[in-house]
Amino acid sequence: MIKTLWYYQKKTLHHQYEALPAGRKVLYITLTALALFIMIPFGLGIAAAGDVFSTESLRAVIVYLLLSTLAVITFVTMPRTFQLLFGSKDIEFLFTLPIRSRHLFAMQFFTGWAGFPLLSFLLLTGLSIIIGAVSGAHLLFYPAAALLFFGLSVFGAGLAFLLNLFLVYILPAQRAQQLTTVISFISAALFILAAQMPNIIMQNDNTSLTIEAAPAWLPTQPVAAALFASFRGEGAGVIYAAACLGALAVISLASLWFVEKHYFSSWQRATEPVGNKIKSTRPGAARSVPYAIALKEWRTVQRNPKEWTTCFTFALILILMFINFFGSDSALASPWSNPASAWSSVHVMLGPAILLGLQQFAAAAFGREGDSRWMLRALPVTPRQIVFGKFLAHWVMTGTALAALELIAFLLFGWNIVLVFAGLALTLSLTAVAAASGVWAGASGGTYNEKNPQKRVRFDTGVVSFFLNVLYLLLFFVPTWMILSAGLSLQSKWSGPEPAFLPLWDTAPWPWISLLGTGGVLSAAGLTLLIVYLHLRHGTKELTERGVDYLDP
Amino acid sequence: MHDSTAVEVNQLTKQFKGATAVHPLNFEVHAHEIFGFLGPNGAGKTTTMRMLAGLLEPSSGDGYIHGKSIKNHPLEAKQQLAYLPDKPDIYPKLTGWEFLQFIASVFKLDKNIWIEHAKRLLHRFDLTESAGRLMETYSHGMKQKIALTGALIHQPSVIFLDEPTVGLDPKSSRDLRAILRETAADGTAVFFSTHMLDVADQLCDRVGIIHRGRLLQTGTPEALKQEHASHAGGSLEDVFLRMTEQHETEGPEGEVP
Repeated sequence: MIKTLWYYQKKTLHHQYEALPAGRKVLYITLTALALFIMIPFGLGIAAAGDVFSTESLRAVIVYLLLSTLAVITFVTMPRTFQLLFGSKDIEFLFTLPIRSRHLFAMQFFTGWAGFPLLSFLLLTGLSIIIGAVSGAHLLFYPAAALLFFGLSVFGAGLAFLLNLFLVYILPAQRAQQLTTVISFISAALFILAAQMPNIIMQNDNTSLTIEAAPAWLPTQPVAAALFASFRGEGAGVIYAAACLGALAVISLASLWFVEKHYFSSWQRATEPVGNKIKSTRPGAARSVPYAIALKEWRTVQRNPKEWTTCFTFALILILMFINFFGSDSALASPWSNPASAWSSVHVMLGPAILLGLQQFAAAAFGREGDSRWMLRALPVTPRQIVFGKFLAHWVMTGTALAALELIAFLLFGWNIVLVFAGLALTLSLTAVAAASGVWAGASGGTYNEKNPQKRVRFDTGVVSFFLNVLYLLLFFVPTWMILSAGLSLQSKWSGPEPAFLPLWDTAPWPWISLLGTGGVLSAAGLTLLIVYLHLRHGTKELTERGVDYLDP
Repeated sequence: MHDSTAVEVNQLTKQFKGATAVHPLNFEVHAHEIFGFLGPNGAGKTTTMRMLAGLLEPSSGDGYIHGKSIKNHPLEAKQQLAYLPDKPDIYPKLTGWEFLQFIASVFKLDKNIWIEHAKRLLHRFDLTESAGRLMETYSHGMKQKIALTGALIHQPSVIFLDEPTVGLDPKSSRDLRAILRETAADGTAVFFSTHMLDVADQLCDRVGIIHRGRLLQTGTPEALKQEHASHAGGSLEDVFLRMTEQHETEGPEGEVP
């Protein structure tokens, strides 16, 4: 049976590849070639870096890196795994056939592994070959590394599948169905943490590159031991590698036993109709069309946590910046003793977070229409009303959320009320720009694919939009500098000068403070109005030209 | 005496990548009339309706809703029409009432009037209890009925319904037919497609038979039955099957003017 299922699944994957547009195939081939090209200098760099560490430290680094790789494989694979186990349309049909649950699971596992885990396996093996060749590894190292990384990819994917099954099994159905949202955030956060790994490991001592030995209980210890021993050509390498793979086989068998018992029941839980507490029985008066569209947008976002995932970039940029700031000697390390400096630092961080993160949230506005997209076009609503309504919704949502954060920070850090108002002017301007540029991206490049509903904007539009927002970030540097300088100078008049994070003017005379403050707010407002106007106008034009098929790729 | 022309179809054509899905169509639907659009799967019914509802750009020709071109004056035309697709996917995260309020806002309806009208329709469709729930919790039939309520609350002068009885339980199906009759009696032109020939036979004032994108014939069910009485049995189903089979055998040349 398993052979039949695999054959069918391979055929499906093959047909999916065949159905790809030629351009997409070329893109994938180019990206693969690029990855291979980058792998060579990357591998050489790692090999050179390895010489700097002592053997013990290098072993600790490898244990940690393998652990973070395992975590990344697991969490990155989890959303897709959830979809494969519980969301794919053919599973319902397959459960009606006389097929064992574990066979279905194995088929889905194969499909799940043949994505990110397979890619990780190939990349890690490729890097090992380069590193081994440069560092003069024993011949035993190459098959051992390939087998171990294969095992790691299978183990990571397996963990992703089992975690999904387990969480669906223990969580209430409604929460289980929102699992992918949380997991997406965790996987993105893990990516960032993995990128920060070297900094985190070496934070205590930047000069000697000496790292404490990793705890012996870590599951990646035997893998590192196998790699080290096989690198030197020691027979222990074979024993360690065999032990790792043997353990993997035992775990796999145990997993299949668990799966046979719980896959079907978990699938039922994950797909059962969920009762909803939301009720509204008091209809009100008709609103203006943009307001009605904005209200509809707000309710859709508010009631669907999956929609929040588009804000993750914003949250992650902000979290990353805060981690780095708190870890450094900046004003944020002591925000209570330097309130104005902390205020200016926070607003410097908000700029990129809002412009590069929140515009993605607004860009999803059109793709979000999904299967209901026919509705707006069958109604007597103009593209201008649609664009304006969606802009309004996203600006109010993001602007209000950030204003609330601003007020919390005001209460928490004891900021002056004048600084809070200046900060609000800046964040509301930036959120307006992010909302407008996002809505423009959605209107001109919004897309909807039932098979990939999270993809809301075409790749090319996303790239253009990103660079536009980088440009806006540069343009906003001037008003931001003026507002922050005025705020910092104002604070120094009240309670003495504070250290500035940027080359800000912190000791300006009164007339300059007024000029900087007023000029900053006015220029921010002017720039905002101009950018918002241009984006909304162009977005309306694009939506008009795209006509009724506005979500077609 | 004829009622005023509500829908005028003039040389309406649709091509997809070189293949003609709908050959030039010409016909009219009048106010107070229930017009059934009959045809086998893939005949071009949905394509025609989507063009007339402004959801699909015609390759050539045009459709007019009370004289307003759907191609050149889509907003004015859409003010007067309502469209209900065969699979009415509507905002899953809105409740039934919120959806209706959205429609009322778009058509700028008076609060008291639309709420009264909506309550009557919801009661008719047994949706009063569930109108406060999110629409994602609705069954297919319930979605169909709430979408129909949304289509009717602004009292359109033309309503397009694509396979409206599919997925409805017998009572809802009967209520729908009664509502469509009442709607037509109030002056609305009802244009619907269906596979259910008995429904068309009972409900329609006129039918149009479309096959492979060509309109084979229009007329009242009685007239069609009489015309084909010598070749087919006595039902509309017999007429339909005979005409489509004949067209199948003879090819495009067999088109009946």
